[in-house]
Amino acid sequence: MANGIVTGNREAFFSTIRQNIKTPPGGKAPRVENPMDGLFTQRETTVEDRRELRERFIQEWTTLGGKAFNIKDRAELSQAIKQIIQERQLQKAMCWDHPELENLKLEEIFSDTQASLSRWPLEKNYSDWIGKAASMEAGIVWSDIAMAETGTLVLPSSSPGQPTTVCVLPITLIAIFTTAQLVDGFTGVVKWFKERYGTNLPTTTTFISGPSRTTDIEMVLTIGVHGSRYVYALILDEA
Amino acid sequence: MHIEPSFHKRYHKALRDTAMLKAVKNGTGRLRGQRATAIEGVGAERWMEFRNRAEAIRLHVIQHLDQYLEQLVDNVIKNGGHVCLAKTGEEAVQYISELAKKKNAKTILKSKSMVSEEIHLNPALEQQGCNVIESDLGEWIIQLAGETPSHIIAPAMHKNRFQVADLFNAVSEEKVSTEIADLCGFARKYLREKFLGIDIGITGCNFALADSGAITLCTNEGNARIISTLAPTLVTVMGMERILPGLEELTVMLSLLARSATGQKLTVYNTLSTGVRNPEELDGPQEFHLVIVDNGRSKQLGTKYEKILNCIRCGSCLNACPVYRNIGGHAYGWVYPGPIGAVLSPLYQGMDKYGELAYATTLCGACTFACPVKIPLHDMLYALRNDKVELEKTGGLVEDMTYKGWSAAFASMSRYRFSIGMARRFQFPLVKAEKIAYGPPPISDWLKHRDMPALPKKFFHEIWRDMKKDGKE
Repeated sequence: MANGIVTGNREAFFSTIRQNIKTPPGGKAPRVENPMDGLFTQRETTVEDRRELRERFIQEWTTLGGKAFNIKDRAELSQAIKQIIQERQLQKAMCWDHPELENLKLEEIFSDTQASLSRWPLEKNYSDWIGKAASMEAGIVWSDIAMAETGTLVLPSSSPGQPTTVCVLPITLIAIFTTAQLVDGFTGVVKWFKERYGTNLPTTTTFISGPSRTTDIEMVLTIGVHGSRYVYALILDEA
Repeated sequence: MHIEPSFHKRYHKALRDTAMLKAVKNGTGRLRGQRATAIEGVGAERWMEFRNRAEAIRLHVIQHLDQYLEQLVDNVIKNGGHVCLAKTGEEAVQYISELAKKKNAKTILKSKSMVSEEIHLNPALEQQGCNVIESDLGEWIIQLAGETPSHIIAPAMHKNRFQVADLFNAVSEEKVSTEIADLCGFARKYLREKFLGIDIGITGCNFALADSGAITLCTNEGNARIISTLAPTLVTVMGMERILPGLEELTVMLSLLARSATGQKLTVYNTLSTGVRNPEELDGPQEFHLVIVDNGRSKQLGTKYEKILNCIRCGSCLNACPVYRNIGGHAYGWVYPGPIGAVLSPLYQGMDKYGELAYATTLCGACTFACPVKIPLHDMLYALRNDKVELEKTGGLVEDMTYKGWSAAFASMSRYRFSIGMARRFQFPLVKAEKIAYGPPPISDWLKHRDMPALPKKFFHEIWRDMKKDGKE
């Protein structure tokens, strides 16, 4: 990718800052080493721990207004998806082109129902796909990592098959992951990001904690203003 | 919107608006309650540790601002984005206006950005024919009303559902009811159409990350991420202090921001964007412009007000402040209300225009206590009062002599006792029922609204001394 351009007098802009910063007596404040230490849970988890984390995630997620399913096998996955299709009266859904979702053969589950499932990309050109994407009633994504303590999905757009659009536009969001994706909180997420990306982050990463909400009118909580109104987490057992 | 130049007149106007005051009291009360519950969940000790860590992080960043900003600029351009370094608000507005012209932009959608309010971006873009639409529900409401935000995180806190319905019905083809769910439903439908026809998207920036060149957008509604996903050209306007070294520091700030602002554990949507999409990606911006705005910020570096740059715009000082809760946001006059506004406005816009705001405080310290990054707001307000007096003192000989005499009398115990003794002896013409309610100028002004207790026949320490003497201790 070609480098961008800087407008404005860079030298003057920074020399003002440098001139004004004065070193206070005792020197400048040092960088905080390990800023997360002691603030967030830090541990390696076992399969059993992560099953407990699943309960914590479900508790947080439902408090936020989401629905969660604890799924043991394919039959239960199929049942959960059909229940959502029924509940939301879905006709059209789109999903990420993600290897984990492909393994789950979601198209087979959808073929038994009135709803259709389209895999990203819907079309190649913006003018062709945007209308289709906007008409989708549900978006299905794979959560690469999820935080139990806050009930948060972490969705990096790590490949072209995993665009943010799928979790941005539809009123219903369905996120699927296994207990292996669960961490306590931010410590696990940062470790995962550092190992996977270093400082070369994907174009977009979204942390989603529950449905879209606002209290902008009379401080009354209202769900689903711009983002998803209905959010489902389908958590498969990793074993 | 015309803004009355005198703070005195502005707050008197606010005090007459009972509907607004009721809404603000209700809103701030709720937000305070939610914050308190969130802190309880974390535990007081751990919350203090969070605040200490956040303060240390911000302090380090601000004292190394040049280094982190340079790193940010390098990373943004490496990621394919463009950077505008704007010394003033005008430079930032000019850059964005020219960009809009170049792109022949008709529809511009914005997510909440206090800096864009500060630099008056919308009127400039509207003047050249762009349709600029605020997409945050609260911001859109006040845009339709032609007003400015009255609260940093709940901009339309002062409006009730009936007023909102009137505003929506003015743009709606169908009648919208006064039910809050219907009002939100209408906003979703109306703004969704606009999102799909977006030419340029403009966002604020909660935090930029120096080590990756990413910007962070935090919204509960999800409007900023629709913009950053669908806008072919994305412009992010950031105050130059809104920067952190990297992801680790960000996690501390996001945890504090949500709890301090609304009492949530995390904001619903925290989006990290590195700007321009990869060639094989179909969504995300094709062009990204980061506009870094100074506009008075660099002047605070190295001064006693430097820590004001630590602010993460959570709004918790507003909810804590007894003055804000009783006059609302518009009385502060400029973009930033509450204690943070009372400090920022005179520092950024000049003491002559906003110096009076240094008195919009009881100096109770509730703001300092509420601040997640431990900005000593009430100390700063006190310092601003001193600065204002220094700047404006008339310097008359009588005034100088009075204060010097007062200072000399009160600096020594014997002189203090002597002067109090004299006052006690000669106060009798003014005392009525152990109070002084009237007096000659200049103290008559002071006594107009309050009584002063008369000096007693015996002070506590004298009673104490006598009791000791009598062996009654």
